[in-house]
Amino acid sequence: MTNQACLIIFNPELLPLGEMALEGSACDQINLSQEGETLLGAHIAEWQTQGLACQRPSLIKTNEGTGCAFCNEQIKMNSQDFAQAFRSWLEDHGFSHLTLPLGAMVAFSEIQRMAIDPQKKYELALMLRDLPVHKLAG
Amino acid sequence: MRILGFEKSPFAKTEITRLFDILPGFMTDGLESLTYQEGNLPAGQYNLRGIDHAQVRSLVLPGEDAKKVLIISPVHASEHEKFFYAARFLPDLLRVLTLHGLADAGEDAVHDLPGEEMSHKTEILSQAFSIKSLDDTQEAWRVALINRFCSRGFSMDQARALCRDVEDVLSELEPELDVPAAAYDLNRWHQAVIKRLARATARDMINSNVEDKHARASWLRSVFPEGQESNLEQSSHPALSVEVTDHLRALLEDGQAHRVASLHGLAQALQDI
Repeated sequence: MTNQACLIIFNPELLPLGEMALEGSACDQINLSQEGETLLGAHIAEWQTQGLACQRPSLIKTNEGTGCAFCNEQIKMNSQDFAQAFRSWLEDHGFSHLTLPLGAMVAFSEIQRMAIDPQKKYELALMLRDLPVHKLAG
Repeated sequence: MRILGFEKSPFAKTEITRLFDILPGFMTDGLESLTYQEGNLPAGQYNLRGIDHAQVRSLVLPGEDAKKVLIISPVHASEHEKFFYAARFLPDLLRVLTLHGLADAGEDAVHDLPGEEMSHKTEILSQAFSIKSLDDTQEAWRVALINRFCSRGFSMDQARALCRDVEDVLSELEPELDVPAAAYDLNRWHQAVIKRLARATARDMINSNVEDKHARASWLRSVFPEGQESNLEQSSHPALSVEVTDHLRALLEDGQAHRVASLHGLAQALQDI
């Protein structure tokens, strides 16, 4: 069995919009809130057929010497490169994200119910990520 | 001569001039900005070995007399495509110019670094300018950058150390630079460009999809409610959901990049007429 985790998507105000279940670094499934569906649904539908456009730097040799080119590639959602490309896309568009082990998602839901500001919730979720929750879950 | 070229640019000359005023000097020193039309940039002159499976979007080339940074944007078939390209333009540009700036400053002979390390350093530094903080204070910028590093898998302590490293490197490259203010201004520039292109794209979509002039006026009124009575400002076109309308108006008024999909919603509703 491959490593399972959840990539949680936040809007710029750090409010959760949904989560993407990952098998390794490939997308397994996505659950979005209503706002998440409005903001991301059309993009995800496009990526399912065409893949996600991602720019990667590569060293290249030219007549003038060795240089660097940024190349456009389409990353399929079932590719092991998808999670990283998706994170970059989210950042480029002003979203935030956090990847938690599957076993931490119940505690993450509890944190979201707390009456504290979104930045504090985000910091608590970070602490949760860095705990050995995979052992606790067992 | 070093050139920053924008092939098939969706950006106005005044926008590019403004961008050059904001960008840190270490990224732009010795660069001249030219639009495709002005420069007639010959992208095809380079013999690129090792690139045959992907579309080249930009180049940073070494060489004493021929240092060039060439931004190659795709050929835009429609306003729609031009807009989606523009929405992602600034972070991509900052990556390219950071790499160029580091190479120019002789930073560890950037081109000799292994690909991953070069990519990491460029990425970390370009985040300093592409990060979106809610205001231009040092504290807001630091919180946003630390959050970003944490989301990439670093612990809070590592992220704080990385943020200090970024500040140290940038103060060496350009001692007088106010990084939070530059990042804030760059994001404001990006919002203004997105806003302009989103409005042009929305108008283009409506005008080219709706033939009946009364229906077209109705669509334009509901998408662009300015100048209307206050009781009409919140009204939606029947074919657009309230969520899409709200996000679309926020995109047109504020240019927030995360709302770009609302144009997809408008396109879908127009196709369904």
